[in-house]
Amino acid sequence: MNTLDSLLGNLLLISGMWMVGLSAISTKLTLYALQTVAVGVLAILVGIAHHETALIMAGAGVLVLKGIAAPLYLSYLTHVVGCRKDVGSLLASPLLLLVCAAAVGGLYLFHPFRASVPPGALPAIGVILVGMILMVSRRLAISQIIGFLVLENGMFYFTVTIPHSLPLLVELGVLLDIMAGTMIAGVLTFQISDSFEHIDILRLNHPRK
Amino acid sequence: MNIPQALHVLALGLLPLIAGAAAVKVRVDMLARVTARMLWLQCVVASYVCIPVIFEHHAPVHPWPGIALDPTAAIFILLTTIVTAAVVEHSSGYFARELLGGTPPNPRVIREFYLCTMAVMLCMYGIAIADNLGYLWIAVEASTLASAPLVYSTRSGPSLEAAWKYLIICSVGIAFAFFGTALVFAASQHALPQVGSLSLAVLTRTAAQMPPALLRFGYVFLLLGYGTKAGLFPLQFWQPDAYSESPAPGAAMLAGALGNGAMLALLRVSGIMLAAGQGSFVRVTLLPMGVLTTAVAALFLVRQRDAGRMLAYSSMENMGIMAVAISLGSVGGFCLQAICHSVTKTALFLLYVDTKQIYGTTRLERLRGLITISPVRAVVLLAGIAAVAGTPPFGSFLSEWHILAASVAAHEPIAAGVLLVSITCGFIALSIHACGIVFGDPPAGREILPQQFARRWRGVAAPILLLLIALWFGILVPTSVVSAFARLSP
Repeated sequence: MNTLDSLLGNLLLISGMWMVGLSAISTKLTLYALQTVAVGVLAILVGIAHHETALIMAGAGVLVLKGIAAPLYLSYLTHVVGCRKDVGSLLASPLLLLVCAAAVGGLYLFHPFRASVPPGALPAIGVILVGMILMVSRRLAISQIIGFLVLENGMFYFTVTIPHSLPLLVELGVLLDIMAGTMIAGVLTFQISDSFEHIDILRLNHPRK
Repeated sequence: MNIPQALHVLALGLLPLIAGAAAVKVRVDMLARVTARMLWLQCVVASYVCIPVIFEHHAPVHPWPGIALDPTAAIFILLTTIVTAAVVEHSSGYFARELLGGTPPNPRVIREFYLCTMAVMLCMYGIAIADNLGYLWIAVEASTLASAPLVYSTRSGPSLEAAWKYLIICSVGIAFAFFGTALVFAASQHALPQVGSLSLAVLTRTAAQMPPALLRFGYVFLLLGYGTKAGLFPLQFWQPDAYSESPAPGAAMLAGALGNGAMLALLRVSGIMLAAGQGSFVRVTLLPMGVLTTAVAALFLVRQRDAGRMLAYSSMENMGIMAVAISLGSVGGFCLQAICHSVTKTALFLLYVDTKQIYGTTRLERLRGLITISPVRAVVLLAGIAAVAGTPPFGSFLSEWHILAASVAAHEPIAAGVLLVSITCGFIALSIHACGIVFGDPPAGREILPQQFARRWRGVAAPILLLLIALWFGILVPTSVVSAFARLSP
């Protein structure tokens, strides 16, 4: 299980870094969906191996809601607001990838939280870092939502790597909150698109005449 | 499960739920009146449930696992109820005038306001009674989601921008708090090898056996997360925009009720650190953050040009003072500051509702001569500014004095000095701005109070009531209240 765990963790990290360099929103959404389904499946497998019902149910919830429903909703949102390319980023993609590689490389080389965090949780912290970079570097509302969800995947993956899972009620509450947050952010994106005819967050000061 | 205790806690949620349902079903023109009456009744229910918990020396009420009604929770439930009732009472006049105005709001927006206000109130109750780090996180995140529609209910461009900033920055912040929660849970598995725990009571009891490095790592993320929600420096970027762009009653809810939620969460997690013997770490991290928040807010107050942003920075200043109180372990000072700040800031935002409608602007340079237009509102505004700036005889003077004395007693002279200078700067800046609004000549065409404000006393009843509470805490507090505050624990 540890090998699978570490393999999947590194795959999650690589897929996150790949998303940083991508500009096609549909590909980014597909990668996000695959990443989330992988975390959900891993949680179910770890839950079965350790006989933890809470983790199995949380994994199933993540798989269905965050891995299938959220990407479908975001894909619909992308279609309605007519946004296919993620054109706006604060740094050029190659530079962003370099920043990402430096951050993740630094994390693995220096392991700054050695005393606090088990080595198995390193990819989770890496995914959180990549999610943060993905979020703060993008200008489009929809890309920021995807960045937030990737960051959340890192958080959930971390809870899978610790010896005992969080209580089921907490896991489900967190999942529902995140889904509600995604829905509200989606509604706001609709409103922004309707008022401004674009979803570039940095250009919200110029409403339609 | 203790059935009578469970019924008590359930009773707290009943009326807000009914009021939430009424927001969907009742006619829009009657909605404010119906909701306000239900909330004043809720004040009675909350007093019946909470006052015995505050004053009686018994252990916290635990109706279910993960839920605890302790004196601190009871204080915040009562405070939230009173503040929400005042906001809803005052909002009836606001929406009535908006409906009579040139661009009446969509009835759906009004329904949404009352529905979200009730949801925010229930989330605040959840934050107060959560005895589990996971439930606490869920309630704080839910309060963010419930309040986001309050920010963009005007549907204007700037309000959408403010709502987006609020939702995304706070959600990311709270995501960090979740990571911190998971780290504390991982730390608890060293003390309780079989399962670990998220229960605040269990965590506090076993904190000394947890690995300090992991606990400190978790606390940093919890501080980052809840600090973002509280608007502590340097994580406050969403706050001025959200407060100034939301419709005024919504801003009153954000400042008066919601601001306390994240601070209460910080108090709870700091309690675990104190129990683990990590008080010095809390002081090293939270104290500078609180002091800097107060100092930066005071600087922004000096050069402020917008009334809404002025009140937002004043809230930020007070959040900084509360953070200092938590870092010094002064729970009584924290609670007193939270009460006095909430009631006075809500009163000021309710007056801001009126001034915005009277003048049609929030630019400070255009707000002049309120004493000519509405002497009652001018006097209440001056009293409110005096109260929020920590002037005697209001309760905020006592709480700020108490916190300053605690920082001197804790041998933190630099923090005490910076805090004192910042509070003084804030006081001077707020006084200058308030005098500018009250005195001088009113702008042309705005010399007379519009007809819609004819019910003069009823229009200022809620702010006056709130200021009387702040005054009561300053001059008439009985010894039973003082000893109840002295007994409070995180």
